[in-house]
Amino acid sequence: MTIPLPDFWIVYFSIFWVLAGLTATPPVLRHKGYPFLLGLLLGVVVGVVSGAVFMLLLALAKPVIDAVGNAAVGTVIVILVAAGLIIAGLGALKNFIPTSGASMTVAEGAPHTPVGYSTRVDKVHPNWQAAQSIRASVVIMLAALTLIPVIWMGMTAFKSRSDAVASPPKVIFEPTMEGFISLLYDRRQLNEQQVAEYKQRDDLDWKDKVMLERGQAITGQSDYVKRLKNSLIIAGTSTLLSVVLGVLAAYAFSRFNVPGEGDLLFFILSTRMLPPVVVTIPIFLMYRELGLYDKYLGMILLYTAFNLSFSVWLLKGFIDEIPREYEEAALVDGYTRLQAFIQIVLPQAVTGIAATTVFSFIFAWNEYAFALMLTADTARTAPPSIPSVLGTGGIEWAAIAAGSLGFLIPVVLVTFALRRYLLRGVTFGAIRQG
Amino acid sequence: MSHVNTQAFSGRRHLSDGRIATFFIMPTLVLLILMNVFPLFYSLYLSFTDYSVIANESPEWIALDNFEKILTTERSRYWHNFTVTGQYAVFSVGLQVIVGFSLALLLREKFKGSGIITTLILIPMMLSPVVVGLFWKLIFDPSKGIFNHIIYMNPTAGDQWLANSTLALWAIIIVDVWMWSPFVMLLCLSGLGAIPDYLYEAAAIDRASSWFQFRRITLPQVMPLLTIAILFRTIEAFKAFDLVMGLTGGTPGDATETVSVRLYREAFLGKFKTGESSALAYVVLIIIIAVSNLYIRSLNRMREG
Repeated sequence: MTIPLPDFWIVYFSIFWVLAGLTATPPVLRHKGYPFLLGLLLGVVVGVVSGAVFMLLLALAKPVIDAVGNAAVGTVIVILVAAGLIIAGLGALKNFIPTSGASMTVAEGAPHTPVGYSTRVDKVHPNWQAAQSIRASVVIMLAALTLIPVIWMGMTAFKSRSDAVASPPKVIFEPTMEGFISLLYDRRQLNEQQVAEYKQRDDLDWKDKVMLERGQAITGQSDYVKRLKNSLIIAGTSTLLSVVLGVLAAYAFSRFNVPGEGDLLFFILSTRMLPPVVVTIPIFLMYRELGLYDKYLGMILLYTAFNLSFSVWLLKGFIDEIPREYEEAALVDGYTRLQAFIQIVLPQAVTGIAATTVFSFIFAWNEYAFALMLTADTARTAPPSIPSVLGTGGIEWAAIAAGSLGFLIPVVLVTFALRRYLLRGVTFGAIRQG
Repeated sequence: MSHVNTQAFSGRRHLSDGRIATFFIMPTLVLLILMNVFPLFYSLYLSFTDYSVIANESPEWIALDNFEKILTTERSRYWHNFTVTGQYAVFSVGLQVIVGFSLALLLREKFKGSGIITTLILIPMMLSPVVVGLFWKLIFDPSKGIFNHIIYMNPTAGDQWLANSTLALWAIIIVDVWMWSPFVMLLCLSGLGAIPDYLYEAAAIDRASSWFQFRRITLPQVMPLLTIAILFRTIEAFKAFDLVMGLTGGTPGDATETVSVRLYREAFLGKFKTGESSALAYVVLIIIIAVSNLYIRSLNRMREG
């Protein structure tokens, strides 16, 4: 009798059941008047047992999966049914636990079953708490599943060239910096004699030594370093420009009666919806005439325009939230409009400006289509050049992963820093997080 | 003291509010008109010509011939690309709504650490699509990648996702769902958080079933935000370029060649059919403008409501 699941899922579901048992059992037992620690201990047991029952059910259901025909659909159905059965079984079993001395019986007249999402009394009901624990366990496991590709990328970045393309994929490996070095430096393949000669030299630093293991000598910085620099310059300058222009326009839209305001804002946002490929054809011709093709200035102007609509909308949302009374008081005190704007509004809007800056920077940093079509070498940014990090004989996956990782870490940090503003960011400031 | 005040006052008069508004808004409008509106008019003109960037001939007016090549069934060279894009849009947006909404329901009631979990789930959304596509290419690799090792009992006999013309599109859809379900989740969460508690209390008093509560309270209350999410993702799906280029580049054959990828190939790679691709660009543009119109309208309704 075999469990019809790949090894990965056996581990995955085992973790899930232990997690669910561990978190769902204590509130139920506490309600019956037992100490918390006993709940935890029993929780582990419940988790392990329900995991084992789950696997047993799956193994027994093999004929059902075969009967469904499609293995994937059959397996999913069987998994859902088995999980449902186990949870229902545990729920029924719970009623047979005898109550201990100091049990927290539900007060006379209070609801005995959950009545709804929000009613306060039902949130202390053990059924609700256990259900919530199971929900939380499901979410945690799903989050882990979501992160697997990202983690895999991080691992691959530290693999050696052969480990990165090993079949079956290696989960345990010896970490090396090869990927990063291949990404950042140009190398030259050496023959055995040259390797021996190189080994005699004592002016080698750690990078040279790592590459020498592979029979390669570092000859200089790779193009990728230049591309990263370009990315920084272009994304940085265009972000600065779009935020400065954006804050001015947003202030005007927020505070003054601009004729045709709705239409103008609509127009500004609609420019953001244009597909890059559509805009690029005429811009390519225009830039060729003006000599802006493959130039910093051209890319900066384009990215500024691309981010401007976003920054105007997002900043308008933030400025709308600053009470007008502050400025009105300042105006009464003799400030001019400009002074009031600079000394009163800007300091108040600083969080909004920071969030907008970071979002704009990320968009420019991630941008690929424009850069691919409008740059060749001098102004080429990093995203279109990661795919072309090819080694001698095959794709250097470790190098690509290293490039991706270097590219992703700032984005991940930013996601955490901006988590309160993410919703605003992705909806152009129209929707606020509670 | 009063003297200073008068001066400031006259200074303010000097730069009237209306003028400040003009000064503040003008740079933005000028830049957007230069970089977006002007190019679009230029390519509208080009779409009626047979211009090619690499040919040394000036554009020749061929009226609607380009559009005929795109839109009429007998002559269309692009029907396949529209079908691929349509399939991709329908399936990926549909799945994103299902996955995103379920995630939001699971995350609705806060628990210890739910904030961190939410943020972790949101990470894929912020990544660069081309880098994501490129990396999933390794993950989908039948022997070196982890995808087949996770999905199949016998990985070596598993499918070659990116080499099979039906599965390649599904591979892109899977990655897109992975990346963008969190977006739908984020919007749904915000919608769920805004539902007033008393609606559920009233329903509970009337002994409404939880299915009834879901259908008559939760769903209609989340609908406006879900609409925004669907429209936004639909627009993005029609623009699909980065992810496809990173993952398949349109291969195998032209099985995953979305309109944008085809457009890029026609306009830039070797062929340089500028006139014809401008016409194709305009067809795409009209579709997108129609959807974005709906999108911006619902955003506005949200902002005012």
